[in-house]
Amino acid sequence: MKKITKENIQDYALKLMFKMKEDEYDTFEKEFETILKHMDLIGQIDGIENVEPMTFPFKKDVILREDVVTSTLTTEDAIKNAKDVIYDEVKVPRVVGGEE
Amino acid sequence: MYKATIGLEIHCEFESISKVFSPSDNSYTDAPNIHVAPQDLGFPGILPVLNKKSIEQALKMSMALNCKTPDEIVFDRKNYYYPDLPKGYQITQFNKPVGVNGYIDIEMEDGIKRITIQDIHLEEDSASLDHYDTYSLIDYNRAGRTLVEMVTDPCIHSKEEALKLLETYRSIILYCGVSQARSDRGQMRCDVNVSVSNTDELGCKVEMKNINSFYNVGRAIDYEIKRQTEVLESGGVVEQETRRFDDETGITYKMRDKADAVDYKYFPEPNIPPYPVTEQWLNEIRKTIPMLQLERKQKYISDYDLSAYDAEVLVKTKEISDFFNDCVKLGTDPKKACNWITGMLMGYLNETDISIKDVPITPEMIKELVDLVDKKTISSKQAKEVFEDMIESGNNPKKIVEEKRMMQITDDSAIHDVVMEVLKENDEQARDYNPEKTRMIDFFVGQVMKKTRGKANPAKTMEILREELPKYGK
Repeated sequence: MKKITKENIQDYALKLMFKMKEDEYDTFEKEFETILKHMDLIGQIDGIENVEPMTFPFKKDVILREDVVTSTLTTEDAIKNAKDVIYDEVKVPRVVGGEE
Repeated sequence: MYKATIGLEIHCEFESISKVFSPSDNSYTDAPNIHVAPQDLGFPGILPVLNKKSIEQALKMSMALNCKTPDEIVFDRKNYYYPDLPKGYQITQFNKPVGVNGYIDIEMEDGIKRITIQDIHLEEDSASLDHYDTYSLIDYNRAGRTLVEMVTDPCIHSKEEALKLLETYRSIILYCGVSQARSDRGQMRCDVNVSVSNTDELGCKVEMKNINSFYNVGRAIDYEIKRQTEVLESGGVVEQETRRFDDETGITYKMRDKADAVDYKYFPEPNIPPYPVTEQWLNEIRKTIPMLQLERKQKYISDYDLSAYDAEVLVKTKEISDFFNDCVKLGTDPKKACNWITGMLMGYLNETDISIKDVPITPEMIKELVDLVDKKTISSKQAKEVFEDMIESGNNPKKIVEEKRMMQITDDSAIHDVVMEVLKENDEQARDYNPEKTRMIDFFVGQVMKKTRGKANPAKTMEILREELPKYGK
């Protein structure tokens, strides 16, 4: 069975930018163990590998949107909540490098 | 001997009136933050609603790239945190893209090479960032714009192949009419994966993200192949990492290594239920895919006997190629149509930097012009004059020829009369005629032309002169 260690959780916390207390790590470690045990049980069901994961519980008719512009915010509204604005653009601390 | 292996991930913004998941304007603009809806800013309570056109465009490209299409359209969330992504995730396709296992044939000097495609998927673009010394600025116009990413297999082995693939892919986009694919507007961007190895096994892959022009893709590949080969030759190990290409220096810099690789925690996008893709819908979309560049080129060479060079020039843009096809459809001789289009017409378009749609010339006019020359109503020299008039005035060739009284005299007896007149007027020279002296006959042709203001058919005139001169005065 796959195991999630405290080191794993610390790594996730760092990547997700969470700060947690020591006992919270212990709680998480125990909780993950329980979750993984459940998953392991489910994994033992015969033919489970042929079952497609369910992502949507209901079959619903989806409506596609026609290609028209119906609503756009004014620039004023769009940047209203920004702390700092220059020339109608939102100003943030300098960031370089991580763009996808 | 070290061999390079390259894979490309090419992003292209597709053009539609509204964005892919939000109803704001999808067009390009220089004014910041004017094409923004609450969905693009990731405001609480927002729901994405799929643009039908975007899906149709993506499926169209998928089929044009010979991909296998899915039975339903579904999306996934790609989670990462960055200021250009207000929602904290990008809606993209991970588990079931609009196309998988396709291919593009590219034409290299030594023949056709097939580049296989892993997948093509539909997603939304991020906001654009401008970086300054101490701060960065965000423009959300681009956030949520329709983006399609195509991923090739690592089956490209040189810079030339990579660039040809980019060119060919761009031509397919243009022929399908889904985008203008302008890299100066950031509509086309490319991630390049390069590895180098001297065994059958692939070397360690290095990724370079967001290269903004074909030219820089070439430079980045050159640099990486050289760098990695040098590392290996000196006994070192190439590390799996992401590098940034600096277009000012032409050098790549380490951004992050494998250990820092981002885990995007993909999961199905819960706000967009699956949308079924029916065979009927696919057929309708398939009908809108035109014959593509390479196929047209091959057809021009094999069916119309055009040179590879001419065929290449004709298929450079779909507009020109369509224009040529229309000329041929009207019954114009393909070679003659080609000569007019690649010569005078494209010369004019290049000189004035305008599109064929902006000149008043139609395929019907080309056909008429070719016919006038074929019937010897005008000479080919006169036809050029007619063409120049035509492109300025938009008048059809017959009208121009009539207005300018350009009709050639092809009537034998009429030319004969003029020839006899000219011989009489130049009695001495005519009597001295010597068939060895070709200049002499040119002189008489010139005189006939002068008298008829260039309307006498030169070939006919020559024929009559050759007949009459030896007999003259005898």
